Amino acid sequence: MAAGGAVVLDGRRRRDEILGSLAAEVAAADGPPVVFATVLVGDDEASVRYVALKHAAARRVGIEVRGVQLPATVGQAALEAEITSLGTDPAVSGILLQLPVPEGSGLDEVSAAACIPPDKDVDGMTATSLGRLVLGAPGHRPATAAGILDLLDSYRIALRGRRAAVVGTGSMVAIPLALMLVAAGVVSVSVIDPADTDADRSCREADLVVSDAARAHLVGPGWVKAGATVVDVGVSWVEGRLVGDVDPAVRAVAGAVVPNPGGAGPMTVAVLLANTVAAARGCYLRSAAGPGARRVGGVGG
Amino acid sequence: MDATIIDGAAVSATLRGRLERELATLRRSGGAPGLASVVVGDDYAAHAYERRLRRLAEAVGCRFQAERLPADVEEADALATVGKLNADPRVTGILVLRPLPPQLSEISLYATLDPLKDVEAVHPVNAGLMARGTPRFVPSTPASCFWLLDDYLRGTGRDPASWLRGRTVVIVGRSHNVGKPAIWLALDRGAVVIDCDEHASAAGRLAAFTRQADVLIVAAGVPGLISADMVADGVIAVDVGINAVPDRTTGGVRLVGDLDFDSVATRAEALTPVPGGVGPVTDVWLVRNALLGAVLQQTNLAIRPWPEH
Repeated sequence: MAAGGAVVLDGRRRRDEILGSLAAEVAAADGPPVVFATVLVGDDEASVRYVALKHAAARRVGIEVRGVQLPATVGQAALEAEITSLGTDPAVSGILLQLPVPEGSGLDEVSAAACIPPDKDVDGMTATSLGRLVLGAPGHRPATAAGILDLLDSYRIALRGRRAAVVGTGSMVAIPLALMLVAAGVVSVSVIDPADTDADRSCREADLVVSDAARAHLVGPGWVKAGATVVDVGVSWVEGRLVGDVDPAVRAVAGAVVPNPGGAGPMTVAVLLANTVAAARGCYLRSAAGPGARRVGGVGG
Repeated sequence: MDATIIDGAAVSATLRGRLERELATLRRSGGAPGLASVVVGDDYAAHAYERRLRRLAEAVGCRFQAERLPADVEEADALATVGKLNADPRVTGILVLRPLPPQLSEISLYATLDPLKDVEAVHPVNAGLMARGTPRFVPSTPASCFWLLDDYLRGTGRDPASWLRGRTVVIVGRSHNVGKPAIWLALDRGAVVIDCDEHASAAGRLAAFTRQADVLIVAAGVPGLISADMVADGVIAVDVGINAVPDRTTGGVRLVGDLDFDSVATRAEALTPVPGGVGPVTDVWLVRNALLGAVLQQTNLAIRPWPEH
């Protein structure tokens, strides 16, 4: 560790490692190509960019991409029909519905996501995948949370017996991450509403702080115990530039940081594609938070 | 400090009155609720619970059906029993009681439940909807904890929605049916939630968490786990544990909770007793969930998983 500075956990490097081993696995496999489908509604600039990143990474690995782009005026029924047809297509292994759907489109993204068969839900964002995580049942784990755990694990950051604090209560990252930390053996996890005025105090007691609040530089050095690990997930846009939840000054106090950008984002893409390759083989990705999960024949859910 | 003992029986009676009115409304619209329990083997507590539910259900006019399977039942037969209940239109709620013998996969059994009849929200889709804060059914035990808490706060002139915001709720125990859903209910009320379990006590660290609690919910299944020195003055403590311990005076057994009741009562603002706290509310909640199942079968009638008070 550099003097007075936290170790920066390099999500891009770890992503490249994962994509490299996936590429080798895909190249060595016989049989039909692995197909990853994305569904994008509207033309929001950030969403278009995220989908393009995922496509590029998939192609790099040798996964075939099927990108469906629908106008914001697509109706609920047409959107659900599109997702359902990908769901029933045996050639497609993984389906991603890019969120959010455009504001004002009147589309119900929860209902649309429910059309993704759980075994193709490689982003792990449907209610069923979240429920499988709650119950400790085999399933695709939410990609961002699983990616963060993998990154910590790849740097041998121990979780067992530690105290964790998660700032944020979103069901995409904060909630699944809290569950996965529990599964990984943390002694306690505090889940903190970003609006809470005592959030800093709760965080100072933790060995691991994760912030998914989407509030620029919310987590300052006063929030962090010396030597703690700090994970920056939230994204704000300030003057066209991506700004995370964690103040850079935290690096003087923390033992390790997952930066933003360059941490959770690349790891999300890596897990998404690892889940897709696993889905093509009829199984689920082994998670850092628990034992290897095999698909159980005949169990729906 | 004189702690208030929260009277679960009284709250349960009020909730039962509401349930009976809702049942009458349902019947007028042609609906009929039915609760079915599945018990495997001869676990005493499971059978006792089944009998208690039957008494309550039949007293309020809800059909009740008990499925009893032998301890050595094959998984295919257990799944078939659930399938039969799924297909039976008279059954609107299915409760699979634990413990289950080792040859049965709890997860497979849960995933076989019709999600629209899964009154304890253990099917993956319902567990996920619960975790996301958009429950179809709220499982009975954690629901009862917060129903009691809300009722107590309201009764003492505090608005539960605003009072809990920013306060610390500590949940001891991480079970699928109590601890985890309690996290979601606490977050839903804007609380800071600390989730830990009894393993923290082995490390000598449990007290460091429980002392931070404005509201303490204990569902660890360890008799007398929490004593006065482990809580802050003025805590509101909700006890989910039901533990049978030998009674030295009678030579029989008696039921105690996870709180060392007399000890915690010296510091708490209020606490729930065992028995007579969470338990009686749980039974009514479960029958109400079967009613909710009947509504789901029937229409989109406006009965909500979490009723307005």
